[in-house]
Amino acid sequence: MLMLSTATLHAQEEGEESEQAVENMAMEDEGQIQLLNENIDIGEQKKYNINNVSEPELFTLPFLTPQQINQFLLYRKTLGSFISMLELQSIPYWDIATIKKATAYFKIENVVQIVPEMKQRFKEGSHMLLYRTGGSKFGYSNGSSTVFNSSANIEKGYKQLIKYNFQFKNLVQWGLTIEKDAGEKSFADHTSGYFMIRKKGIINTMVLGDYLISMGQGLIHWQGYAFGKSNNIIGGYRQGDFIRPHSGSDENRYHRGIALTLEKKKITISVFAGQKKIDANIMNDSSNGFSPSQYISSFLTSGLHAKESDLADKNAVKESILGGRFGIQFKQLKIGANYINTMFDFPIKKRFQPYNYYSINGNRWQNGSIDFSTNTRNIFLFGEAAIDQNLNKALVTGLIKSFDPKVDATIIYRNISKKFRSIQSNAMTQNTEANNEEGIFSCINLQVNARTKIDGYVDYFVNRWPVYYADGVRRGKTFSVQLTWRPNKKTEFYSRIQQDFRNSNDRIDEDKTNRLANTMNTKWRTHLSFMPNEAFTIRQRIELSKFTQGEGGVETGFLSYVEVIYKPLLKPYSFSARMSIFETGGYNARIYAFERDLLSYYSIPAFYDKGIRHYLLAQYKITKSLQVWVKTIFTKSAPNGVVYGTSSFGNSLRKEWRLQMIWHF
Amino acid sequence: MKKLFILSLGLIPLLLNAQIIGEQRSILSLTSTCYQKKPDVFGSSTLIAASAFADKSQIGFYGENRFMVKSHSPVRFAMCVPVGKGAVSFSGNYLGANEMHLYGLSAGHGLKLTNKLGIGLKIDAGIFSVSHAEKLKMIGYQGGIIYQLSEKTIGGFHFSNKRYLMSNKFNIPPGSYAVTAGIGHQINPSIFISCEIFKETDKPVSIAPNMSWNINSAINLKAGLMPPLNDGYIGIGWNRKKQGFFIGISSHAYLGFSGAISYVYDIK
Repeated sequence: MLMLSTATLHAQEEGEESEQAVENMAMEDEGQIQLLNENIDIGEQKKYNINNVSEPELFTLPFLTPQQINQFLLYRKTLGSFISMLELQSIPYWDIATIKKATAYFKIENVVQIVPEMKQRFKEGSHMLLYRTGGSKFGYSNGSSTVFNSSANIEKGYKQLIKYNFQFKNLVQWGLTIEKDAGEKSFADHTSGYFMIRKKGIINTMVLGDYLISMGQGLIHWQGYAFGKSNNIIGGYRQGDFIRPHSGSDENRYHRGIALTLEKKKITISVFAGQKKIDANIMNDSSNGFSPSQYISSFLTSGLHAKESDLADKNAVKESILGGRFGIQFKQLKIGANYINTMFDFPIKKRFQPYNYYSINGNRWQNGSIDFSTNTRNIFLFGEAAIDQNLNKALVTGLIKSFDPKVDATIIYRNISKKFRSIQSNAMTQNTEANNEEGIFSCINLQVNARTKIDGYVDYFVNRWPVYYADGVRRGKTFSVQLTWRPNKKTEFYSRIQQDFRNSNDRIDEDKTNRLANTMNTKWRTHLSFMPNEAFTIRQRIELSKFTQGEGGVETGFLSYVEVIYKPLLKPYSFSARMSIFETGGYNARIYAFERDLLSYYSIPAFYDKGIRHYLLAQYKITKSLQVWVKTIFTKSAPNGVVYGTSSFGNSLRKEWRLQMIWHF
Repeated sequence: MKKLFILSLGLIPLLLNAQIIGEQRSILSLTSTCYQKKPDVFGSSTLIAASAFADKSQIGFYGENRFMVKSHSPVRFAMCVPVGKGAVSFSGNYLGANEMHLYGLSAGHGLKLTNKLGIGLKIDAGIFSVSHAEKLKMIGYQGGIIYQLSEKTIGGFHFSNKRYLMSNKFNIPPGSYAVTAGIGHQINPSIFISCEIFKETDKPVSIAPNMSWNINSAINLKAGLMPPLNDGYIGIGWNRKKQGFFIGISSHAYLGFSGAISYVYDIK
């Protein structure tokens, strides 16, 4: 999980590669962006001490391959602490491009073996306070005048987020989050808090309060966001801490209680337990006239409580969890056994549809799994095998291999029974949930020369039981090829083609069995980033898309933007402005584009229909410890023009603003 | 019949769908000069940001007989004068005959922000009249950015938006735009290639590659595709001291041939 946090956290600071990763995440599953924004750690770019950075921490750096990490650890173990960054050149598989990126994340400090006492931890830590707010306004334009209609605005009012945390070198941490979405009446519609200590005696990690659990490769339980298919060879590998404090603003997908990891030599034992109320839609079952009962028809994850109907679903269900993990390490081999038991005070009963035939029923669900990872002969192997309480099986396994310092490749195979189910899975699958899927994913990174790189992936999958929007066996394949060219330090150009074939229903009608039609979605993007001098960065992009379904239904799309970033050296301020122009034949040909935003906030809107969007982002460092960000966005589009996350709008004008302040003390 | 067909392709959509007047490229293939290190007067006035790097005062005249139809043939005058860190440019356009007339005037400024980065802004005003119908007045702006990626490569982005002052008469929706993005590369002192992507509201995307070959210091050849219809064109130019002449021809699969001439003079 940390890998993902770091990878995307740096997106705003580091640019192209991380931004592409976040864009891919949105294209694969828009819901991941909500998870990203609600679970991202807030703070400045982390720098790790090169002499004690751990293996999990190295995996947080998205540009390092498992082989490079393995060689790094072997070098340090054999030759001792680093004296200079120049030593990185001596490590096998570490090329100049990797070293250049790594130096931005590393610092050199002597290693202090003594773990600080608790008193010192509390005394020397740092505090952070964040305030974020924002609002939006909708309107119509008749060509000569603009009318803003607040009554039509379902999101009227301001969003507000207040976050406080205390941290000492990741050894002690506590925090409090107070959040209110636009339209919600209560100032503190959602509150969350935690207290965490690490490395105290036998205790590796202990969290009291709100926390997240991430198991194995995400087959049975993975809270927070995760990358899907991308050109990054380690993007499909799930890696992160088993227990993390919930410092984000997600209102449902976390646990509340206690989580503990004990560590003794090569053995780790983790347990967690908790109980909290979550949002759900509760229905009355009156089929049994003598004793009508209630059941859960769906879980709600948006966290929005602006309308009466939302409030009726708020905290409607009590969720109790219990689980744990036993992990052991033999040299390079790490194995773990995971278990989770989830209970609700109402039974789950999904709407009767073919794709819900094997859905979870009842008020209790259990899953177990075994996961592993090992590194041998320049091959990194990983995987997870899981079962549910009905003994249905699931498997995800893969390998990452460096054939040469210039060639890395990965293959991930998945075979998940059509009957297998779990709660809050997030594995490397085509479907949002890990079930009913077989597939194989392969990715290759080829560094042709110092300036040129070719990346690509291909994924074949089949869903043998009906899924949402496919009333039959669905087969598909996706491929992507990208050429990246960096002629000099200040210029980067890439061009990418992505194509997705699959069969899906030829119409939307849930009351009938629909015919399947072949669909093809092609996107071609060309992107240029250029620094005319030390202060300016220019970015320009053109993306074309084409969607076809069956024998008709062709939609084409176009997006172009130009962005100017002004960030003068040694000045406390920076600005960026962008103008985007888009036109698509419909939602199917939509195009995603990453936008610079407030620190630790991600905006990857899907552009569809036609219109123009401008934004201006300003950042000012008032003092060494106080920073402020302001962003204004103006979008003019045809009805149903742009979608933001899960809320769409039907007006032709939209004004948005966001403000954020962060104070470190 | 041919006139009617052309009218339906070009002028009726103009009224009904807010096609942007004057955004069509000319046979001169202005893209071939927009992305050159030293743009000429037509390159400077078409991609206004390009004028940021203009280094001499020029005037130019351009005339075209589009599809051999008089009413669809544009005439254009342009002037570019370097001032301070950039240049100002002016241009005038006329299109029409008999009972249909389109007049346009533009004024713009290109500003060099750094040695490699320029921006530009241009204001357009125009009047479109058809006999027995009310005149359509419009005003719009164009803006762009141009950057030298290397000694030999230049990229740019250009945006234009027209606003109709009397749009209600014609039920024209606001917000129509045209956007171009292109790149040019000097392969060697003789050969220059460029490629431009052109998108206009409610029109398909067109991609236009171009090539210019200086056979010697006096004669050059140009060839390529011309957005938005992707007509193929070829032309020959002759430069003598401060003067430059160009003659070109283009062909469209259905609409036939077009011919064009241009003249450019270096004031100083």
